[in-house]
Amino acid sequence: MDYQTPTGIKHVLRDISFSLLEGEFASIVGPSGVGKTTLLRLLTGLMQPTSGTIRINGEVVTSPPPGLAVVLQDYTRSLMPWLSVEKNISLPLKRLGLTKAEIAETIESVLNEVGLSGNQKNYPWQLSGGMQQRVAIARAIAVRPQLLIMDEPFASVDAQTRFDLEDLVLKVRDDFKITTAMVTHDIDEAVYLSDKVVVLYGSPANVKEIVKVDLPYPRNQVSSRGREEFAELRTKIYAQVRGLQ
Amino acid sequence: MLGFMLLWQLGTSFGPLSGGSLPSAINAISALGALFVLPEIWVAIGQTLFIALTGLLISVVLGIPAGVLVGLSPFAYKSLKPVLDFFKVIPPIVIIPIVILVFGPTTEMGIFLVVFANFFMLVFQSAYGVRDLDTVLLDTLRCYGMTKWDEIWHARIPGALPFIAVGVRIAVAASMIVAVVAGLIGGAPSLGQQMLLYQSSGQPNQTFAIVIIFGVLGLGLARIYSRLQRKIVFWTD
Amino acid sequence: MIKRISLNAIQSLWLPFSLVAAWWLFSTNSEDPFFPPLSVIWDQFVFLWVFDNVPIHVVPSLINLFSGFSIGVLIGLVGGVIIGTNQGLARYIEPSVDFIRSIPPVATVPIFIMIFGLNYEMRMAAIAFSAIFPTMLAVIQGMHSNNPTLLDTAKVFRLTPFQTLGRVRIPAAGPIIFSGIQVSLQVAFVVTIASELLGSGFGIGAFTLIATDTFMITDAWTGVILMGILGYLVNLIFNLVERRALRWYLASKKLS
Repeated sequence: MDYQTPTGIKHVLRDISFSLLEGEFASIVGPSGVGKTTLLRLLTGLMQPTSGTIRINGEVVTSPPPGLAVVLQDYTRSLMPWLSVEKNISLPLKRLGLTKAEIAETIESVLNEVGLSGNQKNYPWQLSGGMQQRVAIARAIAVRPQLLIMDEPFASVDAQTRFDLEDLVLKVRDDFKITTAMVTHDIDEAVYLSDKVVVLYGSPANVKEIVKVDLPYPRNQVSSRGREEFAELRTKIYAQVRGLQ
Repeated sequence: MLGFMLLWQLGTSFGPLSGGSLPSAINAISALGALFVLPEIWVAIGQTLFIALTGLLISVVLGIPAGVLVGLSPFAYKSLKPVLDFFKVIPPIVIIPIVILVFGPTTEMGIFLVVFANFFMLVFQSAYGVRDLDTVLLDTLRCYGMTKWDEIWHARIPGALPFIAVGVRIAVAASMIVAVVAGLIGGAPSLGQQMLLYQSSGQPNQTFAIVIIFGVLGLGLARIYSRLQRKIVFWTD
Repeated sequence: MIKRISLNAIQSLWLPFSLVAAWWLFSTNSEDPFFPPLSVIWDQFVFLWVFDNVPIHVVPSLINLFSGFSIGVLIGLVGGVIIGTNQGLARYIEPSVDFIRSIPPVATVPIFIMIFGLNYEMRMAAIAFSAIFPTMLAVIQGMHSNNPTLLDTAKVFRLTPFQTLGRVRIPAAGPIIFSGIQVSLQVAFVVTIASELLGSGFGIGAFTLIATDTFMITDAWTGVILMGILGYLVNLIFNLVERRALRWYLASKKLS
């Protein structure tokens, strides 16, 4: 997969160019307001660049491409409160032409994967914040996406739940090898989860650096974060985000 | 509740209101009891409810679909908004003089009045609800490949239900009130007209008793609708 | 910028204008006694209400409306605050208030006629009485909905009960209270007209009543139109006042 991204309107972004290979996990970080969300909207096809192109598998993106899945920060507003968990997940599945039985099976397996088996009939607002975000993740993997986009998915949950969800993402990544681009404010999280970290900086923003994260898999909250390379990487990225390098 | 009644009784027996025409609590309640035996009271109650509920039904059946259609078209919404804004603020009592002339003091007049009272408000509420869709939800659905039609059917309409429910709740209360107005002032055959008869023929106890009946009817309708609303729009607080 | 304003204006106004124009055209040759031509209505409207009869009918109606409304709202505010801040008192009084609130305000007018007769006092009492309850209930609801964190903060800052009330609790409940006052205004308007339609005397409602009784249809139409316009204007003015008073609330809503 190849991204060669553009200048946005009002000169939000300029000269952005990076590519994402299949199965890679990239985090996008940068100071507040630099344009990370704008970049995401361009990647998903919700917004069009004023110049430059975005390509997925060589095809130019002009509107949300097929095979796209998203997990956004505000789960209370991206899940439909009038639908049960299973109906929320099955909605995007319907256009894939699966039979009723296949859909039910898929729902069961993804709920299993995110640790929420048996919750099909519950409503989102009956679940805790962390569980709701798991439902959003389950919905995302249910469609077997080509590209998963996440926008600060764990910013609205407490720290403890955050760690659990991060590990869930690692597990999903392991099991499904989905190409992922995630925006986050949390640099530790970015280093922990990614293969590479794209640092945006400046006004208009451009790609300051793309940092490769070589930490070995499988990663672990305790050991991986305890490694020297982890601290080096995060310091380096943090300094760049703060404009100190 | 009891305390209030006590106060009322005392007030009329000894206080500033005694000797006036305000009936004492006991008198009014006993008159109420006596009223219930009269068949014409039940007929009148039925007539009032008929006007209120028929009007409510018509305004809902006409207003909500119209409102949804208007809300789906930005052009229609912008064009109609000033008209809706104007009419939804006008209390139906204002048009009673003309409506009486055209319809006469009839049940139809009452129903027309109720529909007039509710229609514009319901159209507005429905249109507003359909328009006011959360952008986060919209973006999410679009990313997952939802078509415009999907968006309308799966997101806009369910999302509009809380707003529509509010509109209907207001309409339920208004239907009752307007039915009373139609009777009291318009002379439509109903409890309101009956009340006027009692009042002008100098029967204070009965007049007051009817006020109590109105209160009970209003509360009853509101309670019934509350329960209905909780079933339909179950995901809101 | 000017282009955008005029585009907006056209979008908002084309329909009302067209409707009025259509009415005008369709009714030009009307023989129906109940639906005289709009041109005739318009002429009569100008003749009657610009501005000769205004002091005779419009002013008394408006004075009744505003005085009754003010008294009622005042009582509603004070009563609502007292009841809303006193758990014990609330339990005794709230059910009764709830019940009275369910009574159609217009239905209380005959009661007031019984007590006071067909005069000025009757109207004031009826209007004021009906204006009390929407405001009172809104204030009570507003007091109940006060954010406990806000109250705790006030306590930590050692505000006196009066300060807490006036500077914290009531402003916090501002939006709810204002919508209650708006309902009070609408109710007061309806009762004003109702009291005139049922009673006698001066006022727009009274004028329209006499006009219908004497089959002066055109005059009745002008009365109806005038009442409609007044109802709309009164509401509009209230909304402007509300917008100014609740600037903080509206601004914060925009950001969320």
